[in-house]
Amino acid sequence: MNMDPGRFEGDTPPPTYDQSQPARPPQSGISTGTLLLGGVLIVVGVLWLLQRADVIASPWRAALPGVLIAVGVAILIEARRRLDGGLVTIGVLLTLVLSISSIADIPIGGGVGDRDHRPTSIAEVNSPYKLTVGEQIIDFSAVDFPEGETVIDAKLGVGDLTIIVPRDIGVTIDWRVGVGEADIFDQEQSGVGNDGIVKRNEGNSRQLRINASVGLGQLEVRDVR
Amino acid sequence: MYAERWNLTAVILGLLFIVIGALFLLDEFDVLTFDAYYMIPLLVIGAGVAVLFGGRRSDEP
Repeated sequence: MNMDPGRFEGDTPPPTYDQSQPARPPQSGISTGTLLLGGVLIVVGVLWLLQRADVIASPWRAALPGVLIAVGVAILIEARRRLDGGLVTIGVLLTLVLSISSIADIPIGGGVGDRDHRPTSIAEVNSPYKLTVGEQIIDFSAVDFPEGETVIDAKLGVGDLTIIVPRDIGVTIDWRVGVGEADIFDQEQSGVGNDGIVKRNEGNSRQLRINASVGLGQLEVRDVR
Repeated sequence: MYAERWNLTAVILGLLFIVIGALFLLDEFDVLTFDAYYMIPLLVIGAGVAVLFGGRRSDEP
């Protein structure tokens, strides 16, 4: 006989739960990977904005290790349930990018493309010249350098870097090429991990010192033709 | 009581990435000098340890 006024005979009985089997903890509606991706995008956007507003210098060299740490933390959080293959892939790729950029001294965040700098006065000299990937030509032949020493930094990650200097001043080239070729005033070297210092016209009262590095590619320093 | 089953491979890889990221970060801020030439062998060692422990669960007796 049906004793419950709210139920009719033949109704499906409500499910019963075995209290001896504790329920699994409730799963969050958002995965750790999605959470990480969103957080990383927000952080990257904020850093990019701050860099554009000249509040901070290029933050990418510090940001990438930070993202790698965040990936590690996300993998640890996810480890309660499973190994997240996507996060592991991101972590491995980040590690490789950081390692290669560190070994080859690649300036992350320097930009991509071809750059042609031809300053005509010392005021237009905009050191440091940084490029991540591409071809960069810096022609100082039209610059009237002042008395004393002028120091310029030029750094290229992957590609060709050509620096043209005036003939009538003293020049010191402190150069480094991770992998590739160097042609410094027609003295050529190629291979892995080459560097050196080349000096010319040391007695001149006007001295130009250029610290030049190429991670992977070619570096050429020559006089104006 | 529900026993959580930690994936040991994930734990090892997660810790490895945290350590690697911290080393690069400390190197960037000149706290220590870290030679990235050691990175690839370290990654391979970490992957090997993760594979070795991958088949085990932390709640195994």
